[in-house]
Amino acid sequence: MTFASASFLFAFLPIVLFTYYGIPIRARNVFLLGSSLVFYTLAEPNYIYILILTTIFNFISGIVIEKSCINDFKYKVVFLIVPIIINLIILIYFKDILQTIFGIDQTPVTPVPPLIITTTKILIPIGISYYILMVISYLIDIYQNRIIAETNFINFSLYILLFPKIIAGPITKYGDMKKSLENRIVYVDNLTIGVEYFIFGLFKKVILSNNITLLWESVYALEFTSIPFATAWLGAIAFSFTLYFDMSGYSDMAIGIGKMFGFNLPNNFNYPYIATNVTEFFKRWHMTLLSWFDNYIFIPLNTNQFLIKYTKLKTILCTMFTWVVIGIWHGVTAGSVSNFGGVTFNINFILFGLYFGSIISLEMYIREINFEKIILFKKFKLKIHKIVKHIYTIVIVTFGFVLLDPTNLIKLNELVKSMLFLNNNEFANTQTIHLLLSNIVILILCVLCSTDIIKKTNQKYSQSSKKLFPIIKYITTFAIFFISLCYLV
Amino acid sequence: MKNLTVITFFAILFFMSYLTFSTPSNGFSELQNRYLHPPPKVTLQSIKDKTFIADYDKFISDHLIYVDELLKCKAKIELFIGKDRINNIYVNENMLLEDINQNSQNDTDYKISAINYFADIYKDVLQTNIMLVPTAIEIYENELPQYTTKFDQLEYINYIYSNLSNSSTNLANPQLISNSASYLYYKTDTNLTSYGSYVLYTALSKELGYKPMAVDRFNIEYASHNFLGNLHSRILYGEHLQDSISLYHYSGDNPIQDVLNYGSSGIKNNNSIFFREFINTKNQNNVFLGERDAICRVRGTNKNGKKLLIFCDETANSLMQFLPLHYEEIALVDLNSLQNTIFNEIDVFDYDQVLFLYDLNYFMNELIITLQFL
Repeated sequence: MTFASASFLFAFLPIVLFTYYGIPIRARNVFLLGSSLVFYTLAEPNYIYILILTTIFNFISGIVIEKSCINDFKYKVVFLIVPIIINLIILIYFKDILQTIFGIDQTPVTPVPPLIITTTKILIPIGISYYILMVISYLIDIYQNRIIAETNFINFSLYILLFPKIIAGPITKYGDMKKSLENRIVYVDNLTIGVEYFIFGLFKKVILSNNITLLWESVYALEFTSIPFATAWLGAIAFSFTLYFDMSGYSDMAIGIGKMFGFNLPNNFNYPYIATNVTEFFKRWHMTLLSWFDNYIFIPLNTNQFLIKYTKLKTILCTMFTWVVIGIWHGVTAGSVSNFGGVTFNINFILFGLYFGSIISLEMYIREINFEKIILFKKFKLKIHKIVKHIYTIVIVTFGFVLLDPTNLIKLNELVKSMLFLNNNEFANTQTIHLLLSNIVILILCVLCSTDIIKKTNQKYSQSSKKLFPIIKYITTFAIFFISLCYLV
Repeated sequence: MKNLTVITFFAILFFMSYLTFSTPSNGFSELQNRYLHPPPKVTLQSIKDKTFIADYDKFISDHLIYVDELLKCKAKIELFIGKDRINNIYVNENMLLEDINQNSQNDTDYKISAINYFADIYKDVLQTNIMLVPTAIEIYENELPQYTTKFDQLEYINYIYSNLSNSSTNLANPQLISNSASYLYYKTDTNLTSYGSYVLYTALSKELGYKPMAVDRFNIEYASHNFLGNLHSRILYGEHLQDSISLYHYSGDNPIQDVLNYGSSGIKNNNSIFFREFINTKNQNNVFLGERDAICRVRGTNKNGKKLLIFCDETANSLMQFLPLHYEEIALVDLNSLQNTIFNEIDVFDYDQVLFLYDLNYFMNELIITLQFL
């Protein structure tokens, strides 16, 4: 069951919502926890017991870490490291654990040329990658005295398993959710924002993501050895939009549903496509996830005095390492939002990490260069126009994202060659024109919705036309909802 | 207005859910011309293998209140945003054209070897013929949107034919193309019209060895002008493209003695190939042979002793307006629904000729050849 399905919208959500508001406040957390377990069981029935066991394990670990810190136990770090390692083992070696213990079979993998990249099939239960990151942050925050360990098992379990965010985030810190878990009031304003978030998220997922992915599939079905340059880029742009609208649509729906139950889940995407450099792009992309990697991997590594002392080199190495981890994480998660169940893991996700790690490191140094001092720039009073910066960002990001396509490495190799004009294919052909023309409206919609144009227009007219604007907004919201409903059947 | 947004959203959720579950359904969608997904049974196994939630989702999608209206809107939205292909069907002002996906090489090779296996076994006692009929998209290529590329059906048919042994092959493409200005395929259905079938009938004559009757020897009855076929059912678009169904009656003596349908519920007998009761249903094309069972035997009044066995899909149904003029008996066998219990009703040695007659899309993507039935 996904949020963008008829069974969720017309069975699960109404039942849970109406029951939730019909029962006493003190019973609501237990009810939400039960609903979340039912939701997860319907999405990933085979792994629910692992989720329950690890939740109990992490609940106890949190209390043990806190006790060891209070008593200033000499080897208190062991109580932190052991549960983190166990959690990571669950994340990284889930396939092997399952195979060993439960005998779950793997799908055979097509062999690929040895020089390219090797392929391994990993079965990651849906949501577990988000789940693990949340519990690790919870344990570290207790160890670092940022939060107090939760002693109410229901509240702790709800923090981890709350159904709007269990599948694809946003990743929340316990400290940010503690108050809402203990006591929350739902205001109409918040509920309205929640409904709007949900409807727009649904629109992003079922209209934009699902339609633009058809363009990517059309390109993907072509013979890549002869694919024209423009078609390859059209496909790559479609894939990049698919990723964005799939993930941000799902995040928006999660935030919206959270608000319907009184939780304020953090915003996850802040129009990354308006960024003027790659570093900024990723400050706006999957913000809760990337700030997790920043807080729990990059900063501790970069500020650790035991590592290399030369700061610049150290920063580069830490950036590269963090991005390789991000690449691996994206790899095991890519596609799991829409395709429940197993995900093919390829080594190209490491290439993804190295690629963006290098770009971001490079940008760090370019920012230090004072262009005003360069003779050419000084002489002709040159400035790099914002549009050029946008184009640079989109080209670099679009190219990098195709590395995340996990299905066929040989095709990926050919696609990259076409995108770089390395295989002497033509620039475009009649098929390119057909693909472009038959998807032009959806492409324009994707461009519009990936920028803040609509948001700015909203803000402008909400001030200037206070009576008419709410009516227009109301009609637009439900028109979008109606269109999205058409795509659920 | 904020209150109204919340109230409207919750009201939509509540009333659509309530009406969906409280409105009785007969389990069949007349408009979509298909059985709706039944409510799934909750079992531990179905939850574990995720079939429960998948089936439940299909069940709700199928039974959702106003589902037909939502589907119609979806088709209109798709066209509005510039798409020319919905659900694998090209939509234009004149007709709906189904795009076809190529099957795997292994599947093609298996089907070739199965037909060769059959032809080889019976090569001394009967003549094996094959005709793969191109779909409308091949004949009406000019109706496709500009810059569209499509699968080359002629090349595929030639590949199949060149790999067959002990069989006579019949290529329908040239005759269909030369008659393409005529009404050969329905605009909203994948089947050939009666005239399209007549063209096939003439195309088959050389290899099957009969002299086709001239078209003016038939009286044409227009049974319907409001037929919306299976392509319309799939996308619920194209009401303005309503088709006509014509029935061809031989001007001489009635060539049909009776039609016997051998299904799992026994043998049903009819004295005509036309099942007129279907004219008033959504699936009007069933007027030819009705809801044909796994085996259908058409017995003619022509007592020339010639018998023809046809392994076929629906393509053969409307062809029965013409072929019985030349045969004493024609048996139509649907390999996909053939079961052991009725398999014995057919003895291949009773027949003089065998014809494999399939629409190319059906042959590639739906036909299941079980060797034990050959």
